[in-house]
Amino acid sequence: MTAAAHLFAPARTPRSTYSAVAITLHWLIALGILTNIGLAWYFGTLKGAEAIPPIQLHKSIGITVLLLTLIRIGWRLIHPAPTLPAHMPAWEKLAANATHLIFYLLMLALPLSGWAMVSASPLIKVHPTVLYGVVPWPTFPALPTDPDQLHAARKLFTRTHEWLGWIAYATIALHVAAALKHQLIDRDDVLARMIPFLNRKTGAAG
Amino acid sequence: MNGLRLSALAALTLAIPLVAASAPTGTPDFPGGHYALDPKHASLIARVKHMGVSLYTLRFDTLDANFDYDPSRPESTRLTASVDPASLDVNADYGKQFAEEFLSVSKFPKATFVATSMQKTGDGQGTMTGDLTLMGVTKPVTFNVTLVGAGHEVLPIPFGRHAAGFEATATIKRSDFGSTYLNNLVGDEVTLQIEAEFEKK
Repeated sequence: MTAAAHLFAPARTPRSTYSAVAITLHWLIALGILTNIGLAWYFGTLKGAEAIPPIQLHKSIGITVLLLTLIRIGWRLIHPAPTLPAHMPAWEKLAANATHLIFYLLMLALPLSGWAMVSASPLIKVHPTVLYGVVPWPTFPALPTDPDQLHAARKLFTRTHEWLGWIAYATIALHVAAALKHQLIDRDDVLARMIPFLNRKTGAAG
Repeated sequence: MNGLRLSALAALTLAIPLVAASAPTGTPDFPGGHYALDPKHASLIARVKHMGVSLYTLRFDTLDANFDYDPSRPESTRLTASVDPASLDVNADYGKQFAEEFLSVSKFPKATFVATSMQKTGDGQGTMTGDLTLMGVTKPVTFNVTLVGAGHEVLPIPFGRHAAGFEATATIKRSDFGSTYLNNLVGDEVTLQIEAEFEKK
């Protein structure tokens, strides 16, 4: 589709680029995820009271990512993503779609498992989650009350959160490597769909 | 939490050495026989560094201990003690959850101490070494034991009650017993302080 045609296309027609809302959500969430990865490594090196503030910020950002992801999913259901370039082989398209699906699952499961894990900890009564020190956030609903089951649940959630973190590293590495491949090797406009100020190489057609 | 449990055990242990050490002149003595802990007059206190800024103090409420005492061979006294780690008392409603997280109490519902040797170090003073079993791990622990007092109530024997009281202290590392929960926020060293009154049976 040409640039002129897509201006007049119905909203549900795939575009050659992501909408401004989708781009904003992508980069806000990316910033949150990368900040939270840094915070996780940072507070892992701290002992005592100084570990608490970065943990609380990690929790605030995680819940923010969860809420932004819900908005993003809703937005995407109404505004389909642009189609992938025709030159991509089927396996690349499959890999791209699978990676994006894994990201959506991670962006939900990582905050949810973290929220469940801190909610099941006895420390939640001493250090409740207050988003950015301002907005009180509830504990995860429907946790067991029996201390034995709660202990088992906390361990399960903690392990899940850590494993999902490792999976997230791999997924991010793949995602960034694929974006760079499109930009530097394929020399197509895939990265420019998400970074509007990048110079388009093949015109507006997607 | 391990520390608490250990403390109780240590206190019990302390009581035994104290008994063993109590024979010298100038310190109260008490008759030989079988002695059992009076749980209404006993405590196991543990302290552990919290956030690097304070000594968090906790207590285990369910304790048991006993020993046989022979005044002619006080150093042969062998105390055995047990603590219910689920009886952790932290003056808050999450004590049960702490007991589970720090001491895995549903998996290891009992902590025990069995004294293996007593050494007198002074009048009414001694050390008691024994095997502390906590979270299924057995390690040697030495308590410093002091005989606080001994005697019987005003009614004469056989109606009066013979009692002897000891204090025992020791320091353990909870990581030695596999308790590593929140080791970035809660210290590894746990000091145990046991106060134990024993009654002759």
